[in-house]
Amino acid sequence: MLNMSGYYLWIKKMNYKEGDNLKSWNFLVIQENMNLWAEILNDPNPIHLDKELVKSIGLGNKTINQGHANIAYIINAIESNFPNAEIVRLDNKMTDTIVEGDMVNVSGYIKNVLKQNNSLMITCYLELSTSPEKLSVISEADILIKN
Amino acid sequence: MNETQYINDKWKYLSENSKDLPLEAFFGLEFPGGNFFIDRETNILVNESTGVKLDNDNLNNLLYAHPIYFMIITLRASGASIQDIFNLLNYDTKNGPMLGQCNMEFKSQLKIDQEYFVKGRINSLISKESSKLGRIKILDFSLSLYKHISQEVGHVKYVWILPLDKKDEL
Repeated sequence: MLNMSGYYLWIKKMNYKEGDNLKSWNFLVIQENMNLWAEILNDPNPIHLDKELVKSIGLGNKTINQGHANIAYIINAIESNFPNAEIVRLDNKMTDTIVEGDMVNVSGYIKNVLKQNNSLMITCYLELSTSPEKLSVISEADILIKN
Repeated sequence: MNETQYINDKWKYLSENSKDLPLEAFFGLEFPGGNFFIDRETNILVNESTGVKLDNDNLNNLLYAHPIYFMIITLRASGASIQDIFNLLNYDTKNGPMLGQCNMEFKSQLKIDQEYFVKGRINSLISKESSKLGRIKILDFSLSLYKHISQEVGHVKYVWILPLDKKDEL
């Protein structure tokens, strides 16, 4: 049986609706974290570590963030909007790079809400960007919220 | 010869002969596979380095790993490092390989202090012209994550973009 605070939380969950905007999420990308992710992933790709190499191959003037970290930002934005929910599916398309020093922003909206007995399946559209002109990841997620 | 030895030998053969082989030779190639243990300390680093400060009062933070571990584990425990994959294709990372697409299916949450197993295969390797990057190759592969050998907990499909220039001999 739900207590009163649980009841109000459940009512809030049940009120999610198509078209609702998600609360945006921001994070500053720094080199120290790229170095850490190179170790976590065992990935020696120099575009994450050496800005001179990035310049030499014509990909800009700054080191490029790992795509895995970019997807982690999307996940963090989802979990910030839907605490204690479970992500069931997450499709991501990388459309541009995120580089050292970028302040990233994750925004999005609810595309669909499906009520199933005591749970909700919410489909969201999300974008990771550094400015309105620079969209770096486009994602779609299915999120399961259980009572 | 056991299955793992056969897969390792096939990787060795393809790595040594990749520049003389058609792209189709890599289709269906299985990854050697492997295992990965999620430790508490690294999970904290993963969270903090992506902007999440874990609240130890939240029991879920003590039980479950960050969902990005689906990507970390499938790549770390596939039996082939990212560098091994590029070596397989005789690809020079100085050309700047990029992750183009990543589609993830989660069947259950990953737990801290738990070991997971990975299996997978290369789906395709194709060559094409990109208006932005010039001549590129597109590598498509899938990796599945298991808690026990028969219990799949997730699946990740990767598409990598491999720009080419004169350094590449494939």
